[in-house]
Amino acid sequence: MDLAPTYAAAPPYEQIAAVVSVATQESVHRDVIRVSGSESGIQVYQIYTDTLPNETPLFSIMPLPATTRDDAADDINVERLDLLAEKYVNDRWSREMEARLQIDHRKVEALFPRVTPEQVECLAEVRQQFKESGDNISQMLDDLGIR
Amino acid sequence: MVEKETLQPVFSLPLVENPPFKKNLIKSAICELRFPILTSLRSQPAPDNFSTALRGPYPYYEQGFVIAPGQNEAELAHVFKTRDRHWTVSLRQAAVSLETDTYASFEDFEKKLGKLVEILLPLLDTSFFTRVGLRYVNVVPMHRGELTGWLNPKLHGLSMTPELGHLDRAWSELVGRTEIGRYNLRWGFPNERSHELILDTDFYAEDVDAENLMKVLPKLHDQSFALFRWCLDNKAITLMNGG
Repeated sequence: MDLAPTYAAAPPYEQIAAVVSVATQESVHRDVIRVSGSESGIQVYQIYTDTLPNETPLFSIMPLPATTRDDAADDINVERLDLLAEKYVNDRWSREMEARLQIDHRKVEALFPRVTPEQVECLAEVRQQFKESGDNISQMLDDLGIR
Repeated sequence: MVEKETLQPVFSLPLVENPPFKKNLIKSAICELRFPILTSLRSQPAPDNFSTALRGPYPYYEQGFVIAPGQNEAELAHVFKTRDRHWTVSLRQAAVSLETDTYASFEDFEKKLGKLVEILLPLLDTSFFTRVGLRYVNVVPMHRGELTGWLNPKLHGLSMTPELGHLDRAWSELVGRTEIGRYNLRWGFPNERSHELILDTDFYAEDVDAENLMKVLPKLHDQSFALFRWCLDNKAITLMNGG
């Protein structure tokens, strides 16, 4: 059971100990150090403020959507590896990470099921052929009076 | 076999009506939804699909780094604000929260949250939330040493013990269970500069289906208000009624 409190973007009863403004070439970054007055620890905010444009920039770089089953699976596998790396290398794990890993597992299984629909279809055909062969043999035995 | 944990007594304060007070004491109302982690939210700035979805109602964007209790590394938070900057959406890799410093009513807050969930749910790639928390931080405008009449005597604790002298800090916390999750109550004067009493309630449920979110939230609110009301004494109620 996770006992961490519901997150507040700006902890309401903490004191701002220092506000440092640093001008950069394109924008102003403010480092706001909030020192907790409760037991919730120290939070360091490095805040970059901007207003979102009303329209998507003409030449914005957008990731291309995964177009094939392999691409989709690759993306999911990259995420799985990231999560597993954090688990085993950084020794960091949470319910939210576990949940995502399970979702990813199921997505990959759906994309690459252990038995594909094509294989099931093929098996059904083979089964039908066996059945037809059996019927033929029965008919032959009947015709020859062996049975 | 029934686990021993389920046999523990749970929060059972009677629910009370939430009349329309003329004034509320809420400094901050927050609802946080935790979801299966999305590693794409670690990128800077926020992924385009999130920015595009939120830029209409929340046109201002900030980035913050948060070191949560028990963590060694800072976590990136994408913060979106309304034009009046009174409503904030904070998006982290495994949680989204809606926060306001101008809380008018639960219905209003619930409506805003409903719209936010409608926008974000398709992008979060999940059908459930691992944790749903509703937190109210109230500020009771009273001076230290005047707890009588403002706060339920059961909560006065050591603050009313003159033999201990002046207390620079008087801060209490309790964590309990409810039928659907847990709650956290923190109250007191968190540091020597705070002259008003903080009353912080936080109720939450875990593993909530997205389709049940709007059913769970009113329950958290009702329990929260019941606890809030229980914490207060007559002077605070009179103040809220405009007296």
